Amino acid sequence: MRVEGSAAIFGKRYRGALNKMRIRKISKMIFNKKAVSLVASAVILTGVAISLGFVVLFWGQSMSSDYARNYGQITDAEIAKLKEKLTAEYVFYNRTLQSVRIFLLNSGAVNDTEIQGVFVRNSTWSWVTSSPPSLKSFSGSLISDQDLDIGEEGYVDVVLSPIALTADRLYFVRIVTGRGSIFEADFIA
Amino acid sequence: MKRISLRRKTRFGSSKGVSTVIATVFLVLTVLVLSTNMFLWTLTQNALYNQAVKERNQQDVDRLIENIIATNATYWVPSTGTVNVTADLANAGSISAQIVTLWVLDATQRKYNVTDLRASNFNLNPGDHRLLSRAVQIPGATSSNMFSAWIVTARGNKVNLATVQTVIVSDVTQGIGSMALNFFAFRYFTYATSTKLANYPSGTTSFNVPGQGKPIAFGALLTNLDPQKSTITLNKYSNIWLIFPGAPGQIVQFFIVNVASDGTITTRGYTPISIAYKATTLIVFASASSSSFSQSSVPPSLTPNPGAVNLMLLGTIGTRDYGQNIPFVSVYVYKP
Repeated sequence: MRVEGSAAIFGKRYRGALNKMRIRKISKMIFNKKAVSLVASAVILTGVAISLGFVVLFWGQSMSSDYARNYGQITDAEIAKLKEKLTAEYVFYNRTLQSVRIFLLNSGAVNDTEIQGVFVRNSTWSWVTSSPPSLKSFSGSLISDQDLDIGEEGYVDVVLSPIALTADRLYFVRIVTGRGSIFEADFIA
Repeated sequence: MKRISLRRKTRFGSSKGVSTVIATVFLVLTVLVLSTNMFLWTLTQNALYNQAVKERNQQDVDRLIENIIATNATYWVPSTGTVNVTADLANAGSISAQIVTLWVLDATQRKYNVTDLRASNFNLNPGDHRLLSRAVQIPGATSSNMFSAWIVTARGNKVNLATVQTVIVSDVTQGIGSMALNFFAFRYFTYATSTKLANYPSGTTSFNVPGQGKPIAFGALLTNLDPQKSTITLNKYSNIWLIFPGAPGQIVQFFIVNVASDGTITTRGYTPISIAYKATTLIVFASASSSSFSQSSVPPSLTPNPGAVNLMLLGTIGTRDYGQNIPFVSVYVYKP
């Protein structure tokens, strides 16, 4: 009777402890915060990494397209400059008016060639126009767009007065275009 | 328990380091995409630039091999202020060329003028020859002034018009007169109708001419080489006269006539023919009379016979009177 009684008590206690353990385990499973924070942090980190990756991608894309645009513009400008060719058909120095008339032909392969400035010089002296000279057609009328297209002809007058060039001496004119090309011709004053 | 947990972690992967891997992959992809784009773009731009450089080089080469030769330039001033410029242009290059402008400079006055030739399509293929003749206005220009001229091509080349006037020609001209006869181009014509020359203007280039009363006409290529560069005008008394040593005193005359381009002789009167300095003109001598046209021929009495041909020219040279006799041709008159 005694033995039976003690065994019953032991069994009862064991079952109680087992139940408690189960309950504790279940509640531990339910209320365990450690695992949740780990997942959340992993998700957040991954999200941030992806977002940053996209941000970097778009930033890089915009930077590279800026670069490409600038590079393209520079290349286009250089190509246009390369195609530019002006021929001085005749350079005439008017001794009375003390001015130089330069007759030009656009013999290049690009339109819209503007005259930015004209230098007149010899070996010891140089003079430059302060503003772009007016382009006129051979008939004397002002060229409306102030540039020379392919095959177009025109002239510019450069008034040197009161500077008088020495008669029968060799001088040079240097024509600078809007694109930065330089063309030279010589004349006898 | 610890061992099981560790095994589980290594088996299913640790969440630690995932973001780093993803970020690295993104970074690598980003760099790869951007650098590839940039590389390809730069390559394209460089290709464009290289193409432009090639085109420019080709243009320069074309400009260099363009070879227009302008010779026999003449400057004739028919009236003060007007300069007639003529020159023979030849394209000796291997590419076609377009002449865009003609510049004429009066060096004596330091005045110039330019003529646009684009409208007249003055284009020369390789091997082409063409006569350039233009009247350019230069106020105050006279025949005694010094002129120079050049042409400009569309490629930007400038070609000077070279004057060829040798000392020999001017000396000969001074010695025998201002008009020169082209000996090798001397020709005669037969008639297609009573007033129309057959095979005009070629005729028959020969020094054997038909006689026996067969109507013929003579053609002479005359060039004005007057050292004063004046225009020579031939009046109606200009003629070719044949003298026959075998029949002393026998002369046959062929007076100057006006001929239309189809060979028809103008029968009503004669309009004086002017020959500008350095100009060469075919002059036809056909009429038996200077006052009105009638066919001329070598009569049967003088056939066959060798005869000396004399070219008698009368008229004006500039504002002065002009007379010259050119004796250098002989013919044999045969029975046709």
